[in-house]
Amino acid sequence: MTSIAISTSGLTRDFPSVRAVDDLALEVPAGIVFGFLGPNGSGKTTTVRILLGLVEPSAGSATVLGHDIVNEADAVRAASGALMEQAGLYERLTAEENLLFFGRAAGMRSADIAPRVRELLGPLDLYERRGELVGTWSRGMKQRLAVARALIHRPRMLFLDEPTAGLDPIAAAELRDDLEKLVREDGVTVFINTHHLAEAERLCDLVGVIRRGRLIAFGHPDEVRGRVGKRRLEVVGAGISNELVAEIDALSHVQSAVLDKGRLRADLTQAARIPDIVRLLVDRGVDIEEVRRGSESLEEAFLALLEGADEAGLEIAQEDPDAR
Amino acid sequence: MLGDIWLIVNKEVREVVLRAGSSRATILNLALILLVFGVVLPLQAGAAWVDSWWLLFSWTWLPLFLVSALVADSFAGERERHTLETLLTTALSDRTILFGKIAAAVSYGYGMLLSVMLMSLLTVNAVWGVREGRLLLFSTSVTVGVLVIGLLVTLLIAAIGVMISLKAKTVRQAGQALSLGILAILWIPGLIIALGARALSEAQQQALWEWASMLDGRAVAAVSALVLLVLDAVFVGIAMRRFKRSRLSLD
Ligand SMILES: Nc1ncnc2c1ncn2[C@@H]1O[C@H](COP(=O)(O)OP(=O)(O)OP(=O)(O)O)[C@@H](O)[C@H]1O
Ligand SMILES: [Mg+2]
Repeated sequence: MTSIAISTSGLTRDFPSVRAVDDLALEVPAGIVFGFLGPNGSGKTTTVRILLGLVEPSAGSATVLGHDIVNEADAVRAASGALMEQAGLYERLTAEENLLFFGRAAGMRSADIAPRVRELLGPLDLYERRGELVGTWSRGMKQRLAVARALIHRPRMLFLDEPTAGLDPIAAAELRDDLEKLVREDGVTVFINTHHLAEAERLCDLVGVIRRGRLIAFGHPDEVRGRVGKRRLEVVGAGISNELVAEIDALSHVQSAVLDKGRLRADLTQAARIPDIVRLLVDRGVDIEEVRRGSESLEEAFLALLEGADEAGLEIAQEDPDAR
Repeated sequence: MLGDIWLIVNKEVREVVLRAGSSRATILNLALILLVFGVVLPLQAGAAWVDSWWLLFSWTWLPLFLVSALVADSFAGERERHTLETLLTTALSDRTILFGKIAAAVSYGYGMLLSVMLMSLLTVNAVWGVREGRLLLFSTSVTVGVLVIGLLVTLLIAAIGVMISLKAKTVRQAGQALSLGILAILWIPGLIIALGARALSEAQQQALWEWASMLDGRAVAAVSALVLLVLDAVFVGIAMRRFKRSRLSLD
């Protein structure tokens, strides 16, 4: 059995006007990258703050690396690194002074910090500039430094709250590369808040989707996509008629089929068999040039999930984490 | 824990005092304070600088304002510059952070008080001491009084200021509230005495004055120190109870 890094049960936080986190039950195995996905205001930041002991839960309980988040919050923080919504760097200090401060705050000896600074800043191309005041740096540089700062004491648990928010696409991609390098390093467990779906697909081994404080899906990104995501079929060829499209549209495992610029596009359920459809097309005399299949991106699946939860007014059944 | 408190003091002085503006402006500011209170005033006063009770009031209030400037920034500044939440995610305990912030303000104010005191002694001796052919020093009771009461008052302002800064949205707001508080502390007793004196008859005023001038300065200082010590303990205690990171407004 894999060991569990984060476990919450019935975790709830009420603010005067809103329930930010609602009966959250999560289990995150150690050593993986977990993506916590949700739209604005869904409770991602509040969840991380509760886990770090910065906000008290109204109900429920949680442990991080085996430490209770209320009674042993100091131990949780000692074992964790965090990059919250704000980079949280002292802009009037140099990059090196920042890392020294946070390293010492984590109980490191100055002699151990210097080599760690080189080790972290080297690959980020910031080592040569460590003597500069952080306030003069670009947003992307600050954000990379903030990741290094969160990792300075080799934490076993790393919290990242929307680390690429506010970066241009290139800086965001660079940071994602850096995260991949740094995070895979020492088998650290990563909890990353994001509403950037491509980021989650690229980085995460496991995702949870949260909406209005409630967990509405949990699993491997592919599974979450597969569960709500539809399969797509696109056929390019000569002789596809409207009648034929209507015939395909009527098939039981086809959700919808349309003719688009002479091409057939169909959304299929998981049970649909593509060879059967292709055979039907050939039988009806279609000259097939190309058959493309695809599935929705996690982004589309995510939107479908949120919509589904809206329509049904209830949560989509949560997968049993123990089943993994 | 002492090491961690020192870590915060060091960061605070660097961030909020030394690097608040350009480094030139900072050095100029500190130099100006030393120049005015450590050179110009003692030069004008001459030997009276060390003998006169009244002249003490020309420079001993200095730490009040230096401390309040730094302590107003303590939490409100971190909040304003978006570093508070990250500071709170570190392994530093609530107590360490609180004591670090208080210690930083006290070190700055008290440090400047000591510097001005030393500087002024150097100045009066270099000019007037040499001229009069004697070593000019504050009396022992004045020295002890300034050192002890200075420390206690600085600590008091720091403890009150840190609580105001905890609640304040901006440094400016904290600074204003604290300045008003200090003015109140300085003026209200004076006002009460002035009004009270007016209510008394001439003979009573005369009697009170005679009684006051017969008081032993050392005893007054000792009682003041004791009262301040109690106030310090109370306010630091309240600050310790109030400061819990899980109850702080982070944004
Ligand atoms: N200190 C607070 N006081 C009152 N309400 C709060 C507080 N913090 C958060 N909330 C509310 O709780 C809800 C969840 O907020 P939270 O910041 O956790 O969402 P989020 O998922 O991180 O959103 P975003 O993607 O915008 O960062 C929101 O409705 C927010 O307004
Ligand atoms: Mg957030």
